[in-house]
Amino acid sequence: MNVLIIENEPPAAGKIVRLLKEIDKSIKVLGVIETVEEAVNRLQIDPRPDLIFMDIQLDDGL
Amino acid sequence: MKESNITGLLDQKKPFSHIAIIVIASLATFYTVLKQENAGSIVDILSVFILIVTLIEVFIFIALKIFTELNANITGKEFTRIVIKRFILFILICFVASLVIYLIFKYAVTLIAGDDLSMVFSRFRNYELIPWIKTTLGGLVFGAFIFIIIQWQDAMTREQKLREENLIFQNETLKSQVNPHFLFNSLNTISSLIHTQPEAAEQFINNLSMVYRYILENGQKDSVPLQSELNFITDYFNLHKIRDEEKIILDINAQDAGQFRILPVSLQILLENAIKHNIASRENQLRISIYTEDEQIVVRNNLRRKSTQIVSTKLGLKNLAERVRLTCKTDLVIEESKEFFTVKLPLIK
Repeated sequence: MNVLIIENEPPAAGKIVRLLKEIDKSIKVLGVIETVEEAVNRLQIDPRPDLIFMDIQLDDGL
Repeated sequence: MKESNITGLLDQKKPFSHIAIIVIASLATFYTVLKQENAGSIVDILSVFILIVTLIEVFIFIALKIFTELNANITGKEFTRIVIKRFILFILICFVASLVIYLIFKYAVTLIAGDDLSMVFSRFRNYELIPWIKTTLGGLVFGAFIFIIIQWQDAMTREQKLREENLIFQNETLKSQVNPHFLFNSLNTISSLIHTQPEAAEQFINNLSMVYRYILENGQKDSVPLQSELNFITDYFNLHKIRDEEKIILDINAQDAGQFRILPVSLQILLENAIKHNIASRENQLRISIYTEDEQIVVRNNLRRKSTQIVSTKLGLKNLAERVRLTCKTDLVIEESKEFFTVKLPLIK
C-alpha cells in the first residue's frame, strides 16, 4: 500500500511513519509533504497514493 | 487620559467654568460687603466683584498651566516632590500676579474717580496690605484644596486603569499559554519525540516547564530584567524550533540587555504573532530579528502572510499596546512595509 503523509512538523510525520511500519512492514511511504502548494503539485503526478494522512494546518495555510 | 470631573469644571474653554467662577465671586463679594460695616456704593461692590472674578480666573489659569503637565504619568516619591515644588512656584506666581492685578485695579479705580494717583501705593502699603494678603491667601487655600483633589483623582484613575489592564493582560497571557491548542501541540510533539529522540524530548519538556515557570513567576510583575525575558523567549522559541526545525530563525542581538527592564511576557506575544501569521517553510524561512535600538527593543520579521486568514481576535497586540502606553508612558510603534513587519517596544531603564 502506498501512503502519502502531508504534515509540516517533522517529529509528527516521523511518528506516523514509525507507527505505520509497526503495523505493517510492507506499507510504502511515498513521502512527507510540508506545504499545501507541494501537496497540490504532488497529487497531479503518479504514482497516486492509496491513502493520505493529512494535517489540517500547514506551513502555507489551511 | 480622560479628564476628571473637576478638571472639566475648571476647563476655561467651557462656559460652565466661568459661570461657576462668577457664582463663587458673587458669594465672596456678598461676604466681603456683609463684613464691612459701612457698605459701599454699588460701584464699590461691583468693582470688588470684578476684582474677585479677575483674580480667580488668573489663579485658575496659572494653576492649570503649572499643574496640567503633571498629568503625564509620574509615580511615587518623585510625584510628591514635583507637586510640592510646583505648589511653591504656584503660590509665588499667584502672589505676584495678584499684587500686579490689585494695583492696576486700584490705579484704574482711582483714575476713574479722578482722585490723586500718587496716594494709591502709600494707601496700599499702609492700610490695604494686610487685607490683601488675607484675601490672596484665602483664595490660594481654596485653590490648593481643589488642585489637590484633582491630582488625587487623576492618580486614582490612572492607578485603577493600570490595574484593570494588568488583569486583562494576565488573563490573556494565561489563556494563550494554557490555551488547549498550545498544550495539545506540545504534548503531541513530546509523544512524537519520546520514542526516537529521547534527548530532544527531554529538552522539549525542560523548555516547556521553563516557559510555564517564567509565566507563573513573572506574569504579574510590572517589569523584569530584559535578559530574563530574552532567555524566556529563547525557551519559547525552542519549543517551536523542535517542531519546525530550520523553517524559522531567531536572531537576538542585545548586548546592552543588562541596562534595561521590560514588561513581562511582552516579547513572547510579538514572537508568537510573527510565527502565527506568517508562512514558514524550508524555501521561505521566517526570519525574526530581535535587537535593541535607542532604548527600544525591536521585533522584526519578514512578511509572508498566510493566504488563509488566521482566526485572530487581535487582542494580544492591542492589550500589549495599551499596557505599554500605561506603564512606559510611550506608545508601541508598529510598522508594516511590503517586506517587513516591525514592532518597537519601549524599554524601561
